[in-house]
Order: sequence, then structure tokens, then C-alpha cells
Amino acid sequence: MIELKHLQKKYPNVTPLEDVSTVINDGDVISVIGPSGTGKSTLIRCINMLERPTSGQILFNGVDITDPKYDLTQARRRMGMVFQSFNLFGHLTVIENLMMAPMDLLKKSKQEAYENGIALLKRVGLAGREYQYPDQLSGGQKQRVAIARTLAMDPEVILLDEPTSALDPAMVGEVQTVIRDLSQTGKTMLIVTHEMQFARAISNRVFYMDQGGIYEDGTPDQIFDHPQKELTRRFIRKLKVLEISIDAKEYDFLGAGSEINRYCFKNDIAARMKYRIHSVFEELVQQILMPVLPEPKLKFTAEYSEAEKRIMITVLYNGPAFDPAASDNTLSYTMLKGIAADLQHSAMDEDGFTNRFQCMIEE
Amino acid sequence: MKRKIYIVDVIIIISLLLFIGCLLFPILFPAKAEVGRIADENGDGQVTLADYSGKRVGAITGVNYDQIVEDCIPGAIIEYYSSFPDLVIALKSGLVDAFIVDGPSLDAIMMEDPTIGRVPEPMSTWLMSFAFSEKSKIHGLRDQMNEFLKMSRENGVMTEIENIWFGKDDSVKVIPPLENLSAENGTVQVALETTYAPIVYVKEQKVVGYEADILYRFCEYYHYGLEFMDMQYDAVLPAVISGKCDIGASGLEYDEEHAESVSMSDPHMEADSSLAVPMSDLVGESFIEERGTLWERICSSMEKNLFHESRWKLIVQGIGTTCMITVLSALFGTLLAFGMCLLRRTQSYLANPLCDAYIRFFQGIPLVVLLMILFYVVFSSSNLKAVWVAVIGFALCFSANAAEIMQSGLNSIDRGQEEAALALGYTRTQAFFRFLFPQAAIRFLPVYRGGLVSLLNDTSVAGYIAVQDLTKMSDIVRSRSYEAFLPLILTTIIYFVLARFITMGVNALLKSLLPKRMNDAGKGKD
Repeated sequence: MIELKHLQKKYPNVTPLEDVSTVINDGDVISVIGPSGTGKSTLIRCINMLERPTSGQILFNGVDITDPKYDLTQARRRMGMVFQSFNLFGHLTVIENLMMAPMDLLKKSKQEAYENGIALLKRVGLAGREYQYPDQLSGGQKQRVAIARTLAMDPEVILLDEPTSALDPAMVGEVQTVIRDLSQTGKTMLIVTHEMQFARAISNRVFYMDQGGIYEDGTPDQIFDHPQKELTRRFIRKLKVLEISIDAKEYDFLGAGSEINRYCFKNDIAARMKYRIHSVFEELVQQILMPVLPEPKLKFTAEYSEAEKRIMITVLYNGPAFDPAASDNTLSYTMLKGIAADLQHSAMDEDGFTNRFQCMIEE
Repeated sequence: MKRKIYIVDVIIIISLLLFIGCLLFPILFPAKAEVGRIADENGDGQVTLADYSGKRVGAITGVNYDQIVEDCIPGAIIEYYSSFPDLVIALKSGLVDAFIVDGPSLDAIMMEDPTIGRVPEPMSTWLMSFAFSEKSKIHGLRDQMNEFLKMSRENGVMTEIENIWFGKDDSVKVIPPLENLSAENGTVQVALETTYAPIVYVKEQKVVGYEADILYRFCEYYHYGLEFMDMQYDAVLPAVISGKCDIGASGLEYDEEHAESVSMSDPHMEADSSLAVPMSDLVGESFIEERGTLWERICSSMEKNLFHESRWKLIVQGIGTTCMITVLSALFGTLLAFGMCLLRRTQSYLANPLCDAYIRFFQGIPLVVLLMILFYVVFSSSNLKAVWVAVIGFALCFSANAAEIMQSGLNSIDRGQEEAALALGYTRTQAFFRFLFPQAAIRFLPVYRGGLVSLLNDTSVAGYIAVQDLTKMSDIVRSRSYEAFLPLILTTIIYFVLARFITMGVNALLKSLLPKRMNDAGKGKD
């Protein structure tokens, strides 16, 4: 069992982990997903202390391994790690890569280490490669040797840091097969990955990392099908998001326009769609809402789904309940109806917003 | 598979042939001073000093020959050389038209080399004396020497010495072994340069000569021990000033400038200056050098340079010294460099700036200067032998280079290698010795090998601080045979062979580290 208590990791410029607390049970197979730069790798590198946390505690089977007096090598021998870039020892043969650590650290006999190594190579489908050097292997083969090297120490926990990210797409499959096989052995595993289907298939638990910590923690079904939180939903559905906040009557209308342009350019949104976003913004925000809001606080959000080729626009605003359909400006509302579909207004009360208006732009 | 011959191969072969041709040229067609021309420029019927006006005249540093040349050969251009053999060789290869030297030395040179002659016209004289260190542990040495010189002149001992060393009978030119001296009043250390026959030179691996004889008899009389420190001529006076020795010798001029910085004894000889010129200048066409066949010339050259007076033993000693300095300084330098690599791994805030400063410092000092500073300043008052000072100097310098070489090897190892080792449960130290250093070694050894070879070649400057290494020994041989070619080529070959040994040694080490690939066994198969 691994317990993380208020783990924080700060670098001079960024703080990937603000405050992480969780419990990893024996036998858990956890996929760690999330946008890049959200501290996924940092989290699992902290667990075996390759990165020393700035503060917080890590209890491994009840022992605090962040204690400076603790002999880290003891914990690391029981926590294997597989790296994105394999990190095989280039001056040693495949079998030496597998035998060295058990012989040096577990004091196994040469014979025992060799036999175990050969068995592991067979298990990862590389029997007969034992006397080759790492640079004679393909990326997928290297990663399988690296997994075998980790298994040679017979660890309780295996940490995999993006094991397939550095691979040619054709080789991802062979490594995934080995990892899938491994996930059924009952070992505790944490795997950082960008392969959603794979994560869903092998794990019993998913960490969605964002905003400096584990943003959402749940079963694969929950995270992938029914995400509870906004950012998780956006990430899972691969939504591209534009947010424009307005908090003054005299806001920068032209600036907002160029922000929409930038967003469309970046996400390769078709010119017709772009024109419609502009129109929705102008009719809804500029023509209908701004005149009726004496102290405006408004948030305009566009979410573009590449797969579905549609954009959902949400506008949150303050003031008394007001449905744009009831606006005096019937011309603008008619135009709005012409551009967008599924126009809906609802009341809400969150972060000072009281109204929510939503519509959809389709290609 | 048949290998194609490329244009590049042809160019390489042609260049190699040209290079070998250039090397062989001087053997097959030795440079001769123009035969058949009497250098009687002003046509007065005989060769005089005035004929060398406007010509290049070589001279040795340390004696004020400027004045003498200006007085006797107005208009001559003076060029300084730092040893006698260099002067002789410069004259023979036409780099200078004449050179100026004291009479007895020219006699010695002419005895060995019949192609050199003397312009009969006399020139100014200068006074030869010993220099005494003011930092000497033995007090009153200079007064004792003055007293001894005065006495010897009165009782005829001086004349006897002159007759022995400036005479033609080689068999009497011996000095009893230095161990015979009782040394009950301490040992006198004398800095000198031994390429100056007949004043001080090496014969049968022993320092002999006119001044050596005076010094021996002086020490015998006052019950001192005697130790000779053979160094470059330029280095003798610095050694005296810094107190590295008690007496400086080998034809030092008694003049006011010298007397300001060191105390000089009364002159022991009034040396006349002579102008040495190619014999052909003097006798013209009638002089034809006896050459013999190429093989005979090589044999006689071997005899002169190697077998006469067992001179090969000097070379062997020199090889020993050079090897010892190279091996020890490589060993200590490598250990120091390795220590610096370990220090850098400690992540101490001071480690990196400290190592950088060290490396910049020792890379920034020319090797010769570093050796001189160590010898004359840092260890001036210690009794550390010059060989050990050289080892220290070369080790310091080599360690700076080796540290950079090793560090660049270590830096080229991916960080992931260490992380992988740590993640398996190795300590940082274990990871370094087991995985990082062996992999770094494979990368830095080829560069390190070059560093070792340069170290070997750099040791040739050790002669500056009284170390008799291979180069210095070959200088000594040259000073006796007055030949440049064989000693220099032989030295080149020896250095080359030693460098080959180093290369082979490092290659063997490298081979043991390199991955032994299965498919290397099938070499030759395509």
C-alpha cells in the first residue's frame, strides 16, 4: 500500500504538484492521464523518490520513505520503474542488463539470475536475444527488455512512465501486450499514458491529473463515460476551449474578436464556423446582453469538438433571470436562431453567475 | 567484396611518398656550405673579421657577445642560440654564416669536426667565473673559491688544469668519481649545462671538463661533497638566484650586470673569443670534405653518436627518465582528474567552481613556465629532486586536461542511465562505478589516449629544470658529436615508439571495455 499525504513538488518556475493525497491499494492498476505539463510523470517519479518532493509524505507499507534517514534503496528495490526512453545499460548485453541488479543487490547466484533472466525474456517474447546489445534492438524490443529488467528484481510495485510514447506506432502494440499481461498478475501498477483505450482496458482505476493534483479519481467507466468534472470531460472528449471573460461595460470588443480569430486559426476551424462564432458573439453578447446588464459579469465559452465538428457555446452572466428569447431586440435574436441551434436558457447560481445560455454551431 | 580504389587513396599515397621524400632529402643530399668560395669579401687576400660585416653571426646567450661583435665585426647581425650544438648545426646548415665562441671551445669543436675553421684574427676577450647563490646554506663559499683560485694560480695547479683540458691528450681528461669526496662540510650543488666542451661536458656518462675539474679540486680541498645539476643554459642563473643550487657554472661571464643579481667569484679564466666559420670559407676549393658512401656515413655517424664513449647509455638513461616521468605524472594526473569528477558529483556548491578554477588555472600556464615556477619558486628551498618537481608539474597540468576529458565523457552519458540504476536500487556511488564510468570510459578513452601521448611529448621540456630526460640526453650527445641528424631522428623514433606503446596500452584497455558483439566473431565475412 502506498499512501501519499499532502505531496507537493515545486520547481523554481513551476509547481506541477500542489497538494496530492491519495491511497494506492495493493493490486491496484492505475492509469494516470491528463494534459501535458500537469505533473503525471512528476507524480510517479516522486513515488520512488527519483524526484524528491518539496513537502509531504509518502508511506510505503506504512514506512515514511521521504524521511532523510530512510535507506531509499530498500524501497526502490521493491518498486520497479519503466522509463519512456528505456534507459537500458548500453555497455551490457540484454541478459547482463537483466542479471546485474539481482546479482549485485539481491545477492542471487549467477546461475539463478541467468535462469530467471532467460525466463523473463521468454515471457516478454524475446527468447534468443540474450547476447545482443541494446542498440541492436528495435524500440519496442528495448522497452520489453526494460520491463523484463524491472521484473527481474521481482518488485511489488511497477511504475511505468509513458512506456509507449517514444515508440514507433507499429511497435506500441507489442509493448502494450506485455503490459496488459503484467496487469493481470496482481502487482500494483501505476502507468502514465496517453493511450486512452489502453488505459481503459488494463486499469481498475484512473487518475485524471490537472490543476496541480489528482483532479478526478475514479473507475475507468466513470472517468471515460461519465466524468464528474468539467476539465475531465473536456480532456476525455478532446474539446478545444475558448474562454472570454467580460467584467466591464466598456470591454475590448475588437480584442475579443481577434481572440476568436486566434482560437479558430490554432484549432484549424473552418472559415464558415469562425464567421458564425463571430456572429453569435456579436448578436448575443454585444447586441442582446450588454445593453441589459448594468454591471456586467459575463463568461463566453466555446468548446470545439474535432470529432463531431461542432462548437458548443455557453454564456454565463449575472443580473436577474433573463432569457435572450424575451429580449426586445428581436432582430438580433432571430439572427441568432438562424446561425445556431439548440438555444437554451437556464437559471443557475455559481461563482456569481445567475444565468446560463447555451447554443450549438454545426458545420 | 572487391574494394574500389578511390581518387582519395591515390592522393593519400602520393602525399605519403612526397612526405617520405622530403624526410630523406637531407640524408641523400646533405646541405653543404658552399664549397669553392673563399669568403674574402674585401679582396685583401685573406679572410678577416671584416669580411663578416653584414653577415649573420651566431652566439650563445648568457655572455655579452653583443659588445664584442660590435667592436670586432661592425655591421654583423647577431643571432642568439641557447646551446653549442645548436650553433654548430646552425653553421653547418647555413642558418648562420659564422658564430662566435671562446677559444678553447672552438678548439674542441674543431677537433671533432674538421669542416669548421677559425678566423685567425683575434677578438676581444671576456672573463669566465662562477656564480654564487646568496641563499646558499654554506656560508663563505665565494671567499673560499677566490682564495682557492688565487692559491691554485700561484702554485701552478691552474696551469695544470688548463693543460689537461685544453690539450690534445684525451686520456688525461678525467675527474675522479664524486663519491670520493668526503663531504664532511656539506655538499655543494652546482647548476650547469653540460653541452659546453671542454668547459663542462659529459664523457662516459660523467660530467667532466675544465670547470668541473676546478670545482672537484675545490671541494676536495675544503672537504665538501659535490653534486652537479644539469639544466638548460638559460636556467643556470635563475637556479643560482632562487637558491636552488650553491654555485652556477658552465662559462658564465663576469660582468657588472650579473654581479648585481648574483655574487660572482674572481674570474678563473680570460677567454678569448674566436669566430668559427665553415672551413671552406678559409681554404676555398682546395678543401673537399671526405664523405664516403651513404652507408659509411651512417656507420660513422652511429659510431660517433652512440658507441663512442658508450653514449648510447645516455640515451637509455634518458628513456628511463622520460618513461618514469610520463608514467608517474599520468598516474597521479589521472587520479587527480578522477577525484575532480567524483567531487563534481557531490553536488556541493563549491565543487564546480573549484574544479573549473583549477582547470582554467593549469591550462592557462605554459608548461615550461609552470615547471620553472615550481622549481625556482614553490620548491626552491626544498630538497625535492628535479625529477619529482617535473612529475608534480606534469601531473598538475595533465590532471587539468584529463579532468576535462573525463568530464566530457561523463556528460555525454544520458541522465536516464543513472536514473535506471537508482530505480533498480543502486546507490549513487554504485551507479557511478558500475554503469556511468564504464560507459563514459568507452567514450573518453580515445581522447585520453591522445592526451597521454601529448604528455609524453611534453616531457621533453623537462630539461629546463635539471631533469635529464630523453631530449636533454640527445642534446648532450649532439653537443659531443656536433651532428644534428642522427640524434634528432633517433630521438624522434624513440618518442614515436614510446607513443605507440601508450596507444597500444590504452587500446587494449578500450578493447576490454567495448561491448564484445557476437557478430564481431565473424569479421571478414560480409
